[in-house]
This record gives sequence, structure tokens and C-alpha cells, in this order.
Amino acid sequence: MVLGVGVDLVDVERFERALARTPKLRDRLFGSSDTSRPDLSTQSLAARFAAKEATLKALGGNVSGFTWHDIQVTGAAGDPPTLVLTGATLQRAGDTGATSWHLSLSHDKGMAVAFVVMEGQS
Amino acid sequence: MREALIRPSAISHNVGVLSQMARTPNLLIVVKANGYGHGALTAARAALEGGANWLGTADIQEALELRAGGIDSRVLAWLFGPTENLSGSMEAGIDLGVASLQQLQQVTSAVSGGSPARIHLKVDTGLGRNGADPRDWEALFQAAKDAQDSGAVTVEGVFTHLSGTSADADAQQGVVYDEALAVLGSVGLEPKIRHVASSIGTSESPGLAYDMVRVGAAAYGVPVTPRYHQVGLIPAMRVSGQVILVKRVHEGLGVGYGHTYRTTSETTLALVPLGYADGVPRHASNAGPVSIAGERFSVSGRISMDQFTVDVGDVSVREGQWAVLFGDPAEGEPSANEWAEAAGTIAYEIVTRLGDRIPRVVA
Repeated sequence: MVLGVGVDLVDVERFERALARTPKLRDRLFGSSDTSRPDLSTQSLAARFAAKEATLKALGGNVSGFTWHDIQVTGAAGDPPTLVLTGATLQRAGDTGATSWHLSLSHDKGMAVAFVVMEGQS
Repeated sequence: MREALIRPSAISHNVGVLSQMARTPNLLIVVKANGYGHGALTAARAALEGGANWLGTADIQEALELRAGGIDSRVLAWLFGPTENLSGSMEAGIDLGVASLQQLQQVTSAVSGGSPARIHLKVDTGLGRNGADPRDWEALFQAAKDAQDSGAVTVEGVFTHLSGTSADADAQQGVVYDEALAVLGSVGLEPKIRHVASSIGTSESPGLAYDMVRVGAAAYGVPVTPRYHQVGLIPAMRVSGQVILVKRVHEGLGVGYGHTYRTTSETTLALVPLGYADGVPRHASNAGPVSIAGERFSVSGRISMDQFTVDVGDVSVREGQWAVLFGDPAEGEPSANEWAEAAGTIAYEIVTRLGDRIPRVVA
């Protein structure tokens, strides 16, 4: 059964400005899996950030001990993205009974959107 | 010129992830078959470091090698021969899997005073492989209870193995397992450690975790179900061979035994000194993926005993560069799963069959 859903919308241009303003932000937000593809555009990074926010919503928010690297998005170009949870978010997913999680990303007109579904038995 | 780089930190990390997934009071990591090819002691130490409190082997000899290496955690071994002397196992404090009256007899006859032998009764709930058939449960369990009452054994656990045929088939095995627990209860046995799920079961049948899960492949970062791609497992092994010969060749050259590959233009061939004697599956001829200097290629022609050839086209490859057969896909390297697909097998076989000729370099 569906245990949680989350959606998040990110303004790509504003996100790009935030990255430019705070050089350390990129490394704080994105881990090695997020950035394993060298060809990622700012638009794709914005979508990945939206995925992180959407996941937190789907998990019910307030995940203690959370770092942004606990939610990452992997997948070769052209393949559907895979949402990878580790550490605090994997712990929370287990607490809620979730055993699988699903992610869909899209972008258009300067906005990136992510939608996350947590599935399992409560 | 050949290397299997082993990362114990990856195993420890994976075991931590498995512990989060399984949420059982006990976690057994399987280190049989030389730690799935990674080195049994390396794997055992890393697993304990990552939070495992049990180790599992198939053979008793494998368990004794862990003890000889200074491992003092609980160790369960579940395969032994009908004439094998079990006294060494008793002295080393190895828990044994017992699947028949004959095996129980073998255990009790090896006990000579001292503390009782710890056993785990193995029941066949539908895999059709090891374990006592349901028709034999009552007699086996009663005999185990008698042996426990006489002080010869302690029935520590009861376990079974899932077939992984489907979630429904595994759930059905869970029902049969619960019947086994009921029969055990009826003879007065309540083993502390009930264990059913392995890598696939831990992922696909979380309801069958009971008191312990026994995980092998996933601990080594081999994602045997799609769910494992979603929890950040790290492959613990990278296998590579150094390019030892590079040559420019003409169009139409037949490559390797049987000329199953032929160059389609003037091109460059790179020779990699790994073959089926090293465990590189010959069935992956003309298919196995290879990464050299960050570029993806595949085996060209047949894999021979000690070497194979890669057509790298016009890419500049130099002798001395390392060709990665499989490692971490997150770093752009092929995975053991890709080799398994290329050879028509499973990744378990790819990692466990790696030959002794490849030095394990522990990073």
C-alpha cells in the first residue's frame, strides 16, 4: 500500500543562483551517486534537489540526523531515475514500514518537479 | 597484472544498511566460498565491524579457518559429510545445521563431556533442497529434544531457505515454517533463533525476518533484487587486468579461437591477461563489458584460459593501463551483474568463481 507521497517544485534559475552564491552548497546537497553522471545540467540538479525535498515530504518530514546525502538519485542517461535512501532516511523509511520507493522527475519552463511515492506495509 | 581490489569498508557499510533493512536482533553474514570470492577473513572482519553478530559458512572447514584467523563471534556451518569427524567443530564452538536423524546422531556421538553442541534444525519448507521434509519433523524434533534433555546438544535455532520463486511462493514457505515452529513447540522446543530470509528474502519478504536474517550477496554490494539499488549498497570488489599488449591490426582479422570476432576496419586490439582459469566466464565471449581509461568496450572474440582481446577501435589505449571488468557502476565501471547477464548466469557465480591467480588487494 501507499504509505506516503511527496511533491516538490524548484525554480531552476533561482536554484542556479543559490549554487553560484554559495560554492560549498553543491557538495553539501549532492553526493557521489547524485553526480556520478558528468553530463548533469543545472536543470537536472534542480530536479534532483526537488527529489530530496519530495522524499522528505513523503517520509513525513523532520527526519532526525538527516543529511542531504541520505537521499540521492542515480541512473544512467535515458533510464528512469532511481531514488537511493541511506542512513537517516533509510531508517525512517523502515520505521514507517516502507519497503520500496518510486520517483518521477520532470522539468519545463524553468521549473523542475519531483514526485515521490513510498510503498510498503504499515 | 591482475588484481581484485577488495574494500572492507564497503562490506561494513553494506552490513549497516542490511541491519537497517532487516531490523532483527541478530544478523548473520555469510562468508562461505572464501567470502564470496572476497577473502573469508577480510569479509568476516568487515561484517563484524559493520554490525553483524553471526557469520555463516557452508563447510565446517570454512568455519574452522575463521577461528584460526582469530574470529571469535558465533559461526554457523550447515554442510558436513556423513563420515566427517565433528569433534574439531565442537571444540571450536561452531554451531551446526542439522537436517536429519543421521546428522543428529553424528553430532551427539562427537560430544564428549564438556558443553553441549549447539545445533540449528534445518527444515525444508519448499525449496526442495537441504532440510528435513515435513514428514520427518516430529521424529527429528523429538530426538533433538531428547538429546537436549540429556545434555548432549542445545537446540539454538531452527532455519529454512526460501526458493525466491515469487513473493507468494516465499510467503507460502513462511506458512510451512510456522507449522514447523508449532511442531517444535509440541515436543517442548522453542529455539531462540528462528531464521529464514537470505539476501533476496530480506529484500522481498520483510515479514519473514524472524530473529535473524542470513545475508551473503547483498553484503558484498551485489544488488540481487531491484530494491537493493535503492539503499545505496557499495560493491566491495573491483576486478581488473593490466593491458599487456596493444597492436594496430588490419580490417578483416579473425580474433581468437574459432575467429568468432573479425575486425571490421583497421583498428587497435588490447590484450588483457584474464581468462576462464581466473574465473572469467567463457560464456561471456564477445559480450563481457570492460572499461579502459573510462571508456566502455566489450570482449572481442573468445575468452581463452588466461587472456582475452578487446577491440578498442581508434581509442588511444596504452600498455600498462588497467582494464576494469567489474567494480562500482557509480564510478562508471561495469557491474558483476552485467557480466552475469553476458554469461547467462547470476552475479553470485561471477564473484565466487574468481580464481586464486588473481591477487586480492585489500584497500
